Amino acid sequence: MTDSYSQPSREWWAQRWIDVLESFGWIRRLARARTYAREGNVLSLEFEGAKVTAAVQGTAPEPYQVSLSLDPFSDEQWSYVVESMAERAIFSAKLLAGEMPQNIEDVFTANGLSLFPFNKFDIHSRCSCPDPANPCKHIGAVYYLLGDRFSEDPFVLFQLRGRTKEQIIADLRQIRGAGDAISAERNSDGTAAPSSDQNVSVSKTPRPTPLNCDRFWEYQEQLEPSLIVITPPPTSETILDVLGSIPLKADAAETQAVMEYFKAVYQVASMKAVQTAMSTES
Amino acid sequence: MAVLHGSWLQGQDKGSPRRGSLFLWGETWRRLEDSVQPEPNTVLSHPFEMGQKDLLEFLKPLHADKRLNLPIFDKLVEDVPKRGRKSAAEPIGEWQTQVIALPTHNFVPLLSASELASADITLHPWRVKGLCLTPIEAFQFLNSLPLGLPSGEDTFLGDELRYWSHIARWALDLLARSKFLPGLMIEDDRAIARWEVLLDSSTDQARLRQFVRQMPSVCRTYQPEREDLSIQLPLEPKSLLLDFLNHMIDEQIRGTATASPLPTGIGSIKSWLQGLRGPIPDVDRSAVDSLAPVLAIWKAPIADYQTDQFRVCFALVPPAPGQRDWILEYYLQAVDDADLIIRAPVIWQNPVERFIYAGRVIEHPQETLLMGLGLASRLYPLIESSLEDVRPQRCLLEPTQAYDFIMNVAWRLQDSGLGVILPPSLAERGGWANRLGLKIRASTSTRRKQDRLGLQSLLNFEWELSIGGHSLSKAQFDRLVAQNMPLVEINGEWVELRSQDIRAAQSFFAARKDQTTLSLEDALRISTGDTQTMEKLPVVSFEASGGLQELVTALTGNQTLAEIETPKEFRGELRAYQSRGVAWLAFLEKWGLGACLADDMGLGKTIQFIAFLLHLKQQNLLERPVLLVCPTSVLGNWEREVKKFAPTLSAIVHHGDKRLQGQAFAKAAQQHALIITSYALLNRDLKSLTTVAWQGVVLDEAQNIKNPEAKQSQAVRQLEADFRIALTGTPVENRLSELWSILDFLNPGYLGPRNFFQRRFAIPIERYGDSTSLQTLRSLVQPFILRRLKSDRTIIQDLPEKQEMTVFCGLSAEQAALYQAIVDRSLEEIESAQGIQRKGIILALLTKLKQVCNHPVLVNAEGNASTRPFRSQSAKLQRLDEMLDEAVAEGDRAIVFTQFAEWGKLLKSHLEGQLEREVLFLYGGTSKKQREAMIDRFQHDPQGPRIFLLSLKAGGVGLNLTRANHVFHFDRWWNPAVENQASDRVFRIGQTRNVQIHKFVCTGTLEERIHEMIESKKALAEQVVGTGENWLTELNTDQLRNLLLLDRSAVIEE
Repeated sequence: MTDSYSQPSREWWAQRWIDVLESFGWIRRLARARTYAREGNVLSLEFEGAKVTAAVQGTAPEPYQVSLSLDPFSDEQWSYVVESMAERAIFSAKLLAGEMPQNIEDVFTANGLSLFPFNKFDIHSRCSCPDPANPCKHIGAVYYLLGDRFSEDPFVLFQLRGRTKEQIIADLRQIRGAGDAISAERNSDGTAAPSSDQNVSVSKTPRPTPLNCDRFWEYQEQLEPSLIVITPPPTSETILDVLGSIPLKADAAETQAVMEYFKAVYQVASMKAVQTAMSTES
Repeated sequence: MAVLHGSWLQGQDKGSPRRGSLFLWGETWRRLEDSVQPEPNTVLSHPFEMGQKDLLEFLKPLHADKRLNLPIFDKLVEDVPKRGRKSAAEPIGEWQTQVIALPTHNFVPLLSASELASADITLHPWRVKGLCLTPIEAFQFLNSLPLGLPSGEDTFLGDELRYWSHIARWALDLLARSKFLPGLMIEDDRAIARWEVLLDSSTDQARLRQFVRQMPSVCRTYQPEREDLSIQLPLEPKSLLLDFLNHMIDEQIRGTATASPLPTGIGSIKSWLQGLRGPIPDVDRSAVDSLAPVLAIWKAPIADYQTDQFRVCFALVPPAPGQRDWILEYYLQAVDDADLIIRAPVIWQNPVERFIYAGRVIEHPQETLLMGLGLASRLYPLIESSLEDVRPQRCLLEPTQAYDFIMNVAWRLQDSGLGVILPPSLAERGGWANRLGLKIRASTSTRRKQDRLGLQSLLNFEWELSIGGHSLSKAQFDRLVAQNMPLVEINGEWVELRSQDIRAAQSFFAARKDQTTLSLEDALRISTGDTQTMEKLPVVSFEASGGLQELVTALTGNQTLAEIETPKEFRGELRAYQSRGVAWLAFLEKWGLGACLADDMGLGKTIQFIAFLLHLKQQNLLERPVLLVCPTSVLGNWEREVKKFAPTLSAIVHHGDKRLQGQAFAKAAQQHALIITSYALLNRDLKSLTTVAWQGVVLDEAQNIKNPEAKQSQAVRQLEADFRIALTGTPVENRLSELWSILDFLNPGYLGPRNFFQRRFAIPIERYGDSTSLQTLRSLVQPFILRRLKSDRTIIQDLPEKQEMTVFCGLSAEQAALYQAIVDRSLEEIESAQGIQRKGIILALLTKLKQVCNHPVLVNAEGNASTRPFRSQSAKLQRLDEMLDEAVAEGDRAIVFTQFAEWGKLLKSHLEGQLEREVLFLYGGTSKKQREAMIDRFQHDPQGPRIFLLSLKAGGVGLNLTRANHVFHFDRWWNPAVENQASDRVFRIGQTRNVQIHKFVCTGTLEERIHEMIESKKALAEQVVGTGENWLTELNTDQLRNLLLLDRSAVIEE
């Protein structure tokens, strides 16, 4: 039986989150929490603003209610963070492309803040179970599951600190805009001025394509030359390499096995297609 | 003939999950007995649908000949409703009824091949019965169809199926390039795992737009099953197309995925992986519930490619003067308009959600830019450092990095849906223009005038090394090489210096420059754009001067040749285009190049060639004999035409059992200008024929050597000659093996060995419709082929609307023997008979002799001792075969008259076998209903028969057959009025083309003599003959003997 929470297989930021939790001790309790998380005892997990509420199935028939939150940053603190973020476009670029920039923490520490909880007092959690210990295994399970959520979507981490993805993106845009009010004046390099014409008709739904009644049946095109000879791709690189591993909640070896499997499927499909193309050539 | 139609039926994933399928149905023309009566709220059956039985019959031979692959064919049976069967409840196999809205006029759906110009056309639903193919079967079926454009009108395949076969080809290409992703679709309580097509690359996006635009409308009007007459809005091409691609790709991968073992111990996603292979896509919803968001996150970087109107684009800019580094500029680029680009600074100046620029709306411009840069940084980490900026606009690349960007990075970015702009001088990596190569200036050698040129003649030429359009001295070249840089700047332009080109140039300088030769053939190839290298160096520019320039411009069609004066000894007049044809033949002869005159039938290839010979003679250039090879059936015709148009040109026919051989032949040949022989003798008399050093060898009906393996094709290549000419009326450019064979005779080796030609041209063009190869081939052969179409009024203004031509044919040995025997026997009888009895015998005799001229079998059905094939026994028949074949190949339709119904029946079955197409036959015994049906079909069925046989009595009056533009009078009614009236079936109101009337005459027989009498005294003849053939019975026995006597020289013995 493999334990998907016992080995580092997640994106680095999710792993940081788990590391913080595990650095507090409670080894046996966390082991049980991992089992809960893995076996699906966390029935629901929802955000209410920056606060997480969850229902965890314990030993009692009714699931326990768990809530968990971090200290949100104040608007002022966030404005510093976003400002620092805006200084380097790579943060926005990576975040928008679904990736957590490696040195994102720098932005927070530069402003005297920590994105990840620093000690156990930073994590505010409550559980309706009778266990007086905190974290109880239910809270632990929620904590682990949040780690998975981070893997999937790095913006969840920010949400715990009080800002949604949309807010951050909008704030970043605003800062870029404010900064540019100054530079725009200097920018006189002849780049085409944006059209201020707001009368451009914009319709969200594309217009229906009309039928061509004069040439109702007709198709007189030649096959495009590039489709005549079908060759294997120039490299063995596929979209799988561009996207990287699927952020599965499985351990590294399993995720890798899945990706290897896909890779094999891609290769066979490609080979088969090239063969089919060649066999129709004779 | 019928047409197979069909289209993709979109899958319905909601509600009842019907998978998409390919629906096939057949359309055939048929005569509608009664007008279709519309019924309220009922969708009627398509009156021209083929129906199950006919569709099966139609598909059977196509499937058997492997012209298409219908995987389900063997299990197909007609779906006969059984008694007591609970109709709709039981599955009906692959058969399905489908409603399609089609252009309709007067409650009749228009055939797919008809013109849709009429104003009064509406869309109306019609019901058709057809076959449903699963995605797997559809993929096999579509990939088995020929991808090229069909030749002529005789295709069995509807355009829209060709369209889908092109899309299937694209699907195959996407599979080969791994352009797909595993997906998971959750809808209500169902979860479906399936593979989805990934069209992120710029190429595929462009293809998608193009194919969406090109989708034939008929694909979009297939209707869901319903009973009323309402029509749904047409399907959107894009969603239909994507549905097709997704189905093709999904089903293919499901099949191949099972080859890879599933990984073990993969917990909850196991059911997803399981759903992505094998036949069942459904997966347990609860097991994969949490997987959907995970996959969404995973695919986030490419999620927007289908909806985005703008993408990030990278423009590589060469270093500024004095600088070393290249610049990679960031832009936003419109996906559908590569020229619409917006520089990053402009984007940064506009922190808005919607940016309106040049009339276009860009949603989230900054985020689009940032997200694209984020994705690009995964593919090309080098740009990451530039992203440390607040508002990144560009990054710098070292020269080697710039080269790496061009070589390896650009396509990868484009393949992931990002734009790339390279400097124009570096963009066309496949092209020659900017490569290091040779600039060549060539002219013909200034040698003695008498020296004959030919394809292999060597030219004077000078060369220069050139790169990016600039000439390079050796020293400049050495300096460039010393830079040791893959990208170099020449006069302000950056070009790629490829190491293999450097090596080729170095060895060219070192060793071979003095030994390199340039032949006329090389020059032609270079100027037609076929060959582009010399000594492994690209030829980037070619300039011809002097006589060579004249040749090149004339041959590549940039300049028309001056007309020549009609030779003095030519008896007749050349039309302007004919005069140009003669000039063209003379021009190619001068350069020692073989010429193929391929004018349409009836444009006078024969007289152009005769005038060409006289032209040579007039210039004292006709020094040795010319050999003309033609089909046996036209030997006599040739002899006559030469006599008629060039009486001063001595010509002999080398044929018959008394023909000369060996030395005697050679000696006789030297005394004539033209020796005419047949293909049949070419191989048999090869030994004699090769003893003569011919000035020219000419092939008439050159399609006779279309099979390069045939003996006559082999033999003809062994004849020595200064010039070679081929005459043919078939559209030779469209029959590639024929083209090769004829061109290889004319200009040996010019198109390469046959197997090379097959690989390089025939397969790509015929199998895939490769237009690039076709273009290359066309420009390669264009200098040697002159083909004018009779429909081309711009070239042929002076062609009469009605052309009458007499076709002279010989007699076969069987015909001659029979003719002689009948004449001998009958003359005796006539001498001893009198009065009405004599008249009777004469009329019976005339009829018999006419029949013999048609075919011996008509008078000697039982006693026909000949063992030769049916067609060999009649020279007339052979000629008819050849001419009909040509007319049909040109896309024409013909009617053929005979006075013998009995012969019509034989002719019908013979022609159907010979031409492999249906032939109509109308005679006295045809019922009125059949008669109307035949005429209707000939006039209106788009794929109807092209040949209509008519007995003169039944079909000579009253009919309107304007769809034909050829009339053949196979046998003659010695009354011009009757013949003219018959010919006018075609030459009537509604005829838009020139009409050709071919009157067949057997030389050496009464047919020829009566023909001459009529022609020489036309006015008189009309009075004499006006009442029919009775006047012949008034002739005395001596006159009759002279009339009937067989001239044995007309007999064709082989």
